[in-house]
Amino acid sequence: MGPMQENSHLTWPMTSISQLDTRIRSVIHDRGFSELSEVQQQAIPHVLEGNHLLLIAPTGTGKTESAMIPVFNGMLNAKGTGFTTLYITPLRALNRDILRRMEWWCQNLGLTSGVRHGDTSQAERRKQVLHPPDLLVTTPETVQALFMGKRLRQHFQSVRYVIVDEIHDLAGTKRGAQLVIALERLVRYAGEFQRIGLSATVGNPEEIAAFLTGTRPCSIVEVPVAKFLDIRVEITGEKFESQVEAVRRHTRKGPSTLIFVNTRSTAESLGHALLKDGDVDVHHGSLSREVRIEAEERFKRGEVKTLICTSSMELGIDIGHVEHVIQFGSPREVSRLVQRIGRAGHQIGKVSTGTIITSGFDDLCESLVIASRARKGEVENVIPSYQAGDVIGNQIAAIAVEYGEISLEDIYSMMSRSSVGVRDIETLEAIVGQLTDHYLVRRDNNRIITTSRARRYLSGNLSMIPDERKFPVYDIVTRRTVGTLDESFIITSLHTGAVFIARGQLWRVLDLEDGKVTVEPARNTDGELPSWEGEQIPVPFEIAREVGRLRRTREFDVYTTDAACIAFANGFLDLVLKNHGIIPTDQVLTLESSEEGIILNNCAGHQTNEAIGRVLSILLSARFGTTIGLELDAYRILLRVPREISVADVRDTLVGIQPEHIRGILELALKRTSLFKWKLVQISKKFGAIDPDADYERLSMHRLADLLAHPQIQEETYRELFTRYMDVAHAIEIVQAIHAGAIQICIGPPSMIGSAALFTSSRDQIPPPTADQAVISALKHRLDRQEVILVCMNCRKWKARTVVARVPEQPVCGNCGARLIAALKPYEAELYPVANKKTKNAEEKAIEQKLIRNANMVLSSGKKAILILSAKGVGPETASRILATYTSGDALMREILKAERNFVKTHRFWQ
Amino acid sequence: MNIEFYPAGPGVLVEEEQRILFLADIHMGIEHELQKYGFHIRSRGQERITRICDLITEASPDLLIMLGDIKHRVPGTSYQEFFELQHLFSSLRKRIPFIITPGNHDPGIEEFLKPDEIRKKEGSLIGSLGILHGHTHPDMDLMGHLLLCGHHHPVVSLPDQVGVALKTPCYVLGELDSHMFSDTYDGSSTRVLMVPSCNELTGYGIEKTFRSPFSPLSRSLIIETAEILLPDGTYAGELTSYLAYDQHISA
Repeated sequence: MGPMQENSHLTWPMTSISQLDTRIRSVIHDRGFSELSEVQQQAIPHVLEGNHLLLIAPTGTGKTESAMIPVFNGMLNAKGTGFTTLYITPLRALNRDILRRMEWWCQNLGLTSGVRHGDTSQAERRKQVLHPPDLLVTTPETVQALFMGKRLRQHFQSVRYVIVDEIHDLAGTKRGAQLVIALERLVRYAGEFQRIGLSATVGNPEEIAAFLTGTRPCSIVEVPVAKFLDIRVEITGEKFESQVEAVRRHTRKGPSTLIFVNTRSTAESLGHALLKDGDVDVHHGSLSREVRIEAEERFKRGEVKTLICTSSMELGIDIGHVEHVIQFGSPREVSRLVQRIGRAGHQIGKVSTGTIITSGFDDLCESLVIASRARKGEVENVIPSYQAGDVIGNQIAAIAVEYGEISLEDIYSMMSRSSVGVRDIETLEAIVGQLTDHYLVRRDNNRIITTSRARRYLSGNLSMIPDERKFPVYDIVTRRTVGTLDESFIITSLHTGAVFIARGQLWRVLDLEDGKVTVEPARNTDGELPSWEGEQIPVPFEIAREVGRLRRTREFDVYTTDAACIAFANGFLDLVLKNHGIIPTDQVLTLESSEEGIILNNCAGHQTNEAIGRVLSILLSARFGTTIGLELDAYRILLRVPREISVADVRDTLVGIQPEHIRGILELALKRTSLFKWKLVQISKKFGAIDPDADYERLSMHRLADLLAHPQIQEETYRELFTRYMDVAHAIEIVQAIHAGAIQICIGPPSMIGSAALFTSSRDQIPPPTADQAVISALKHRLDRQEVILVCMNCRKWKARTVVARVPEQPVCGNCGARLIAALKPYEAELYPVANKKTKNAEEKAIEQKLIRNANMVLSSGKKAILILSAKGVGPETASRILATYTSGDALMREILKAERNFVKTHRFWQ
Repeated sequence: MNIEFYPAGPGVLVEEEQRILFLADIHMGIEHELQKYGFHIRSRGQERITRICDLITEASPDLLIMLGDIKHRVPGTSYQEFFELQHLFSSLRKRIPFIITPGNHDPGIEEFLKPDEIRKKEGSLIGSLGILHGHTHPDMDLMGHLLLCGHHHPVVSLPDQVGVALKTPCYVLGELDSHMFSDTYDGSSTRVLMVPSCNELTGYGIEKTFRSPFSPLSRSLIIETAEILLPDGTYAGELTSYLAYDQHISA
């Protein structure tokens, strides 16, 4: 903004200014504005005309004023007895800044303002009920709460304007879906108010506009971002110290710098390392509100030059002037980078400069691709949650509480105007049916009636944000709490004997009691357990594909002019080739075998790899009858497999995938996985089936999934998993490309690319599809461990005690070399001396015959006979019958299981 | 003695002079109780009753013995239980005579039953079998016999090399250490078959139950020789193989 001018000769285009009320014009003058930004010039006329508007512009372009100036203009002539304007913003912290600006405007215009969110004092809330402010700044959750107050609802009647700030952040979540349905509920009180959405740059503006206004027309004003950005990419060493040095080189140079990191722990360690530099502070979600506010204020005042933050800082909190933005590690998505770098050069019209500091090959390539796309303005699409059953259910319950009793048609007419609500009345009825099962509403013909449970459910479920409870972990040996476990683990994997890692140590679960998980130290684990801790931001398909292309073409110089980056990238690839590795690219998929399992290197992004990885795991688990462990990130899939599964098996399975079956396979098999169960529980909570403080100790957890097998809950779980976690469409594309020969599959030696740490991954276990195979697996293991006594029926002088697993294919007498070996169960050991007596009575001769028959079976069938003979209750007669079936593998196991089952039914077993 | 397994229950049928079908731990009314603990689901009582009736048709027993915990709420009886228990017992009476060994969740159940439908909670004999719920010390008359009991809701996890492949209810068959009940008992061994729960929502992992036993029977079970059976009668090995930790499963 330029300096204030002495007289009020303002340099605006007359079309805008003349329409504004004189009171506004003089306040604008007082504020020191002498010109409108480009954004404001474009946006204000729309709002003055009464259109719904989606305003898309980068941060720092005066978006808020673009909306508020014409809205204040309208408010001057529209004062009612209740609220006139609702300003809705996602984060509580935002409210402070907006409120301060709004307060200033309102004071000068003779309007009242207030803020209301979770932390607002009781006194303040009561005041708002009695004297509703003209402008209310609030959050989506508090909007839900407002509907629950009888008097507050009345204040809705005078609403003329609703502004949704940071709508790009809300649109892609269920929180946003819940909000826009709430806006339809608002229409019933206020009539059609004017809607204004403020958004950062998105790839699909029309869809976001429809998200805001539903079936109503919406104008879109978009200010492109690319011309405002100057992005560089740097490479540092893998070691933390060199990364810190790289950061320091920047912070030493200029004044105010924001450093974005991807995790809270990184923020803390970086903050600690830079502590001695003095003017550094840290800001992230785990810190208390006071600490965060203080950091923001100190930065704004210039006391602190460098602020290390996580995404908590992304949304438009005003912290004053930022000269430079550093992104520590790849930002994963173009929109993230654009928003974060957009914090720099806060003045309208100035260029924002930012640097991505990368370490490691993946990090570098990904950042180069993202920076390139950011410069071209290729921002990702934000996809709303359409027809999300739990959101709709939550709102039906809220509406029922609000009205006490309301017709189904009225609910339908409210919801059908929104783009995320129900599309047909049958779906609405099905969801209502679900809610009645959980006692949230009652249905009487076409009236939906609230229940006694509903209000309490709503108070605990104002928000659609899933709450993940944390359960303390208590070590009974040291009698100390050693960490926490997420609710997701409790729900999906908790059983006595389960092993997990916390603080680098292995622990075994003993019990869940009094809300604590009791554990003891474990020495080894039989497999990694599922986890989604720190759900990482997925790398989109397009970016991963472009990284793959970059690996192939090696055109690093097209993406950057930084010599160090180019040298590092080329050096890395050269080293891989030197070690006889094959480079996985967008046209080459490689398979490697490692200690951990089999690695499939595929540049396809998290969601596509999730789909492909799961289909592979399901097919492998079905084929081999064993559980498969799955871990993945954007560029690789790790399959934890038992030894009998080879790299070639995986390749064959991959090549054998029929693209048209992918979705069906996933749907069928998803239910048995931990990811599904976890999501199922989250969604059940929103449907009111499970309270936030439910006591899991009262239930057999492994049955929970069956318990919640309600159609609507299931449907929503599938919908969410297929839209947010697994990208089936692109998985089909990859598989089709493999079949068409456009993507080659190569088996290669372990490479540096394959073995890059998978700490960004999701982890899960895919159990075999039928109980049958689990039982067969258990049988195999039991028989392998079975003790057996081998005795020579030739020389009659040799005995050996071993376990079935160690028996050779054709056992041989250690004394005379003969193969006439009988296999005895340990309790039959005494039969050997009996059979070898010089003189035997009839009974003893019969014993000898039995042993000889046994040995003959071993002679002709080798280890297979011994395996069969080690089964429970299986003697030579039954064994020879089984051998006569000439089955092997799983079929043989089934014969053995049948024989054992028959034995169990006999009298002998029960003696 | 002839044994038949019915996984649909799960239940087991023993035939000596008559065919007796055993079910355990039906826990009707559990959904009402679960509401208190934060789980709000509609009752599956009707499905349970149907399942039991279908089982009776399939197994064609002469007598049904329910090994306790037919109802759930203690103390008192909820509305849900009141209606469902009446419906259960009237459906059963149309089909077959039955006996109940009362369990710790069954106080008040006498109101729904005729006197000859209830046996002593510490256990009684029928043919050569001892029957009891399993929450009490067994009556001394039961020593030397094979006891059938419920109460323990045994569930087993079948692991493979990579993880837990299957979690299923199971039977635990083993010998009891009679000395825990009598210093003077000197007869033949006493064995127990713990029958899994009929109710889909209950279950205790055997890994936990036999590390920290919670009943006289589980405390007196001789772990070393106990065996596990799956609901369809599949032999699943020894109990110790499921309690052994820090052992590689693979050969």
